[in-house]
Amino acid sequence: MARAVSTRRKVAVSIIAWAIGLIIFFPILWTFLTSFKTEGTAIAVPPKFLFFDWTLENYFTVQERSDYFRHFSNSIISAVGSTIVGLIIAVPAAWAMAFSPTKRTKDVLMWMLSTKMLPAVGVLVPIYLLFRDFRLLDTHIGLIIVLTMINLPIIVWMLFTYFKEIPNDILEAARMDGAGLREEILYVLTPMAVPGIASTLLLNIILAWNEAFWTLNLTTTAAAPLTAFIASYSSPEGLFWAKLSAASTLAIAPILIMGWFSQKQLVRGLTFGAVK
Amino acid sequence: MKYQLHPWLASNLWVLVALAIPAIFLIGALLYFTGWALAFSFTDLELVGRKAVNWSWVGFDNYARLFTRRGFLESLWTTTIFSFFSAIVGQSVLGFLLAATLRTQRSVLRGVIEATIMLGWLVPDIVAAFLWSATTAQTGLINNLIITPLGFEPVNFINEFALPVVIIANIWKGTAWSYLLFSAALDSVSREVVEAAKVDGATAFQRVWRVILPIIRPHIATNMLFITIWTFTYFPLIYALTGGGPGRQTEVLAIFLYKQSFMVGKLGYGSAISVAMLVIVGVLSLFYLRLLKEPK
Repeated sequence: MARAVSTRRKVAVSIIAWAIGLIIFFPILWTFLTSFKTEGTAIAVPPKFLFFDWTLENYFTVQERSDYFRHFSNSIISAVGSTIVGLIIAVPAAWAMAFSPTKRTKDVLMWMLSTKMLPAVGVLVPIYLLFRDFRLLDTHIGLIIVLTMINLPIIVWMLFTYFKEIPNDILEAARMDGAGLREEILYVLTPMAVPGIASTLLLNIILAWNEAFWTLNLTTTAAAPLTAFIASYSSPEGLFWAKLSAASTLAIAPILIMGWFSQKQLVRGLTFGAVK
Repeated sequence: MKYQLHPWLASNLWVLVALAIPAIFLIGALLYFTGWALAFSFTDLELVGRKAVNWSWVGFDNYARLFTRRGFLESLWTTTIFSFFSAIVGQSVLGFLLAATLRTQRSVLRGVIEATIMLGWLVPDIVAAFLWSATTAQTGLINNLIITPLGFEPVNFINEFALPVVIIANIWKGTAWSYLLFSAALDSVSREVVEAAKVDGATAFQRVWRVILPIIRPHIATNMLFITIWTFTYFPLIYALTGGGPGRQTEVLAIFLYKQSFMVGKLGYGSAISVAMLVIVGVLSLFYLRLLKEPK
């Protein structure tokens, strides 16, 4: 009897869980479908799910009107650029801290992470003025500097947690075998650090790719990434559902594909390494 | 485990310090800019016009304005409601419930749900804003799918229930963090303790309230700390979804600050708002950090 009840409860729980999953997922699925409709079909009542005339027209219009590929390459430049610069700065720092014998290391790390709690809007004014004076507004370099700066605490923190996990015994063994500092770094540490660096890289590309606040405020046209591309389509009346859907699908496709392949690393990155 | 430094490095510690300097410098720059904002808040600096060049020190005028002029206190209230319902009630409670329920589920289901929750986080704020306006607008999904076919007049949710829509959108976007953190926390609770409570006759409610929650208390505090701060200073999703409107219904502090600084152009006043936000966030953090340390 007790078993029957618990089975029924389990079924109920899984139905609810599936329903929640579907509700969460539905807006994304719907956007994807809408991107293949004409503007007329997009607002049809009742909505059409699969049986409508599929068209690629929106995608062509979007490319023609606001040049998806230029925004796409801007996104790539700023995301990849800031990630590479960030890693160049963060790897030595994280390495030094993971190996540093002082007690203050943890304090420095906490201090770095605490800057992530500052409201971004609060430092917008000084940075905007500085960028205006140095003519960095709407440039790739300016965007890369800002994205590096705001994501650096997370990069350092993530790398630190990965480096900390490299077992000491291996280093000992290498030294026993007579490896010098150079060999130790090149042949022992580097290969073991690669997975950690790779997932940090991935996480940071996604963070930089999605960053909207700074990109929208510091760029207008020349360096505007995909976030600005989407924003340019937002009209309060919602007259262009289908085109906006196509633009959105194009903007999130790269990120979803990347996320699909790296869910495990993302979980770790999203929680600052708290969840392994 | 502590690392054994390479002997050469151990005698040349400055190398390690030198390696960390660029990172410390760059992160320090962020703090430096915050210091700038603090200085601006005592001036009447403006974005354009005469006062962009010939600004002067005005003491605490901008801070007095926070309380005497309309706007700041209303926005503070909106922000409080937004943070309370979307971060604490929504993301935390929902995240906890999902984590607690899904633990007992088959791995396929768990994987699917985890993936969909992660989707919300993966989608850029701007796109999330579009998804939600497409769902809630007059010609949007809810109206076309449910309201109109049932014979009712379409409801413009985003206009009539702006704040709830924004809150729900933010829950949709941000539950992943709480869910993942609570999942890890629940994994750290040992089965024996829970079983022992069961043997001693504790009901399911007692087991959660008296045993599990106290054990994961540090996780709860950490989670609260981060999500409250993020939500309190959150900007892109709300701005893209409603722009603070209709009227000022969804004008949270971040949007108020943005509008005062860049649309009205009063940079001095805007800086005072951001300093006020920092102070509030600081007080909140202290509160949560105390919660984190204090043993029950």
